[in-house]
Amino acid sequence: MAEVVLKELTKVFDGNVVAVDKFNLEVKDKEFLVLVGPSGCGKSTTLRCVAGLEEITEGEIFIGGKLVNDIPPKDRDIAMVFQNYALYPHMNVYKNLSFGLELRKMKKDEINKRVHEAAQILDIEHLLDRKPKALSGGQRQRVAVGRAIVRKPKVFLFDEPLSNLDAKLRVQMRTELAKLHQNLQATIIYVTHDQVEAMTMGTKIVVMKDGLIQQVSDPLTLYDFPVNKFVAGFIGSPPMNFIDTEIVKEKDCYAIKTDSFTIVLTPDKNKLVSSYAGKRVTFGFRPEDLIDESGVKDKEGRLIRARVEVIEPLGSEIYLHLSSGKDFFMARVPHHYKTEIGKEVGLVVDLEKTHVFDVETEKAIF
Amino acid sequence: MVVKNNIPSIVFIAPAIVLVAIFVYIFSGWSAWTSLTDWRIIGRMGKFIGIQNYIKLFAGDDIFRKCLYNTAKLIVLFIGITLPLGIICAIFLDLGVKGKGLFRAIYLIPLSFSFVASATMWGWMFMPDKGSINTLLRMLSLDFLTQPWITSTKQSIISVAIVYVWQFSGFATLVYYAGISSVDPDILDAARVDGANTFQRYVRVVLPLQKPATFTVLLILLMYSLRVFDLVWLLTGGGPAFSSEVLATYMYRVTFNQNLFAYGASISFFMFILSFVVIIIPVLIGTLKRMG
Repeated sequence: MAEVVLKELTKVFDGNVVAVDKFNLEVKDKEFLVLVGPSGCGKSTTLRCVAGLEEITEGEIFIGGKLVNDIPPKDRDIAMVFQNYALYPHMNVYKNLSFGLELRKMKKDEINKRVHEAAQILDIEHLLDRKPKALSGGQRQRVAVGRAIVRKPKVFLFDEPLSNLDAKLRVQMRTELAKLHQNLQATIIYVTHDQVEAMTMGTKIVVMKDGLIQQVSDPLTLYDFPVNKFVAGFIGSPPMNFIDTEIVKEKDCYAIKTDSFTIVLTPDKNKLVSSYAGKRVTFGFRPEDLIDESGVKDKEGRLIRARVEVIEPLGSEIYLHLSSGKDFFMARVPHHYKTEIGKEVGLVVDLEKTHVFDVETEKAIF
Repeated sequence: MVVKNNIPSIVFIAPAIVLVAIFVYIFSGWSAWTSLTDWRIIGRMGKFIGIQNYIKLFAGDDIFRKCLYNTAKLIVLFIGITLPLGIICAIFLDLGVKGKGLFRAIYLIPLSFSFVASATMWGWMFMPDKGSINTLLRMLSLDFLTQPWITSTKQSIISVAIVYVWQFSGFATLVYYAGISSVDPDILDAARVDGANTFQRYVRVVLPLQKPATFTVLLILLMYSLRVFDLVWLLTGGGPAFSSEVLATYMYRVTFNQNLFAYGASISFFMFILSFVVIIIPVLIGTLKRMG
């Protein structure tokens, strides 16, 4: 069993910079947990605390049920893959892989066996004699991963390992790391600022901001039910549209009212928004939840008329940058959608997928 | 057209090229030519005698052979101590020990001293009777440790080496500290996760990455030790009994004390060739390697 438990983990730098604040988290055995957030949110610091590379200010860290606060990195039974690979430049690939095993005084035969096993898994057997400088970015990344798996640790820690790769290679490595997780059946904690990486690889995602956990859940829950405006805006590409507006009472329901359109909320939301009637809120909807009005029969109370400002054709789909009154937002429409800049279009909101956030606390009302 | 476009660059670079051409290449060439003559007296050029001076130098000059040995001994002692000392001090600084600012200042001060000042100061310190080193040893009742230092034929070159080490170990420390500080912290973290303790991190990871720093230090120390003159001349005068005579002091003695200009030029040209082989060739190879 290799679960990782963080209790009230706090890391303060130079006496006043709080990088991680009372962080509580449980990573289950064999889970692929992703820590995601913008730069400076404390995700890498959290990972380094788990690795033992940063001394924690307060709290407790358990790996496999054992308190490891005072245990050095080498004895925590973890392996780490760094953003810039951190390969030993003066050693060839074989030495890079075997260095950790040599230091553990493992027998040569066993080292040789493990290095070749890892090299085979990562398809780098033909590179064993090469020095890191003679490898491409992708090959270096494989060696860095190989150095981790050769040790057969309880927990793998990945610190933005794909950031230095080009877009195509990143997609390829993403798939390979996901496969590797399935094959190794190991516990992985993976740090990234890329929400696409987080969504595609993680079985559980932790969204962080300013050293605090914003939300912990599986990718789809995170996408469909963000707990606050930050998570809603951070997860999803293109990001969720936000419009600061007002909630008004209309007949039996409540409605989102702007200068140029009115969206009538479904009656099941009445209870949730009743206390906000007449108050300012943030209305959120994802670009893909705007549908072309043609072909939609019941569009009353959910139609937005908007002017096309910019068209971004991506091949498989089109991003439309739109304006309606003083508000600006995006829509993601199918590639065959025909329109032109300056033209007025009608788009219908999928009411089941809208969100409303408290303006002050930024927490999701629904 | 190319020349026309580059006129401003040529104008700016010309004075430097002219000066280098005159004072380095023309004088070196002249020295090489002189070494093939029997020139002895100022005002009258000697006649061409081929490589006679070189034959005499290598086949019949015991003092020259002694100088070669002394220079080699000085280089081995000087570099053999300065390099490891520089590494140890740089690691000490890198470990972030308290008072490292003060340590660094103390270590770098000798580097700012001129050789004349160092030679004078160490000359006093090395005096067998009233010198501060032996006086201190006697005060500590360690009389048995007192040494004749520069007055002994066995210790004079060692004494010169000690002053050289004192003067240059700060430089070696500085270069190694810069080299050690530039090692990617992630590599050191990776080594920690891999299981390396502090000693193993330095020996197995940090030091093997100091090849460029070692190359720089080695080259500069070699340059200084091959042409060593002022410190030896002022500290020991090459004595006693040529025990600390090195190539440069011997060249000076032969040329200006004995007025054997051509013979002195042959020693000088030999030193040039030696420097070329030991210093310039490795630099050229390094440059060519970098250029692929």
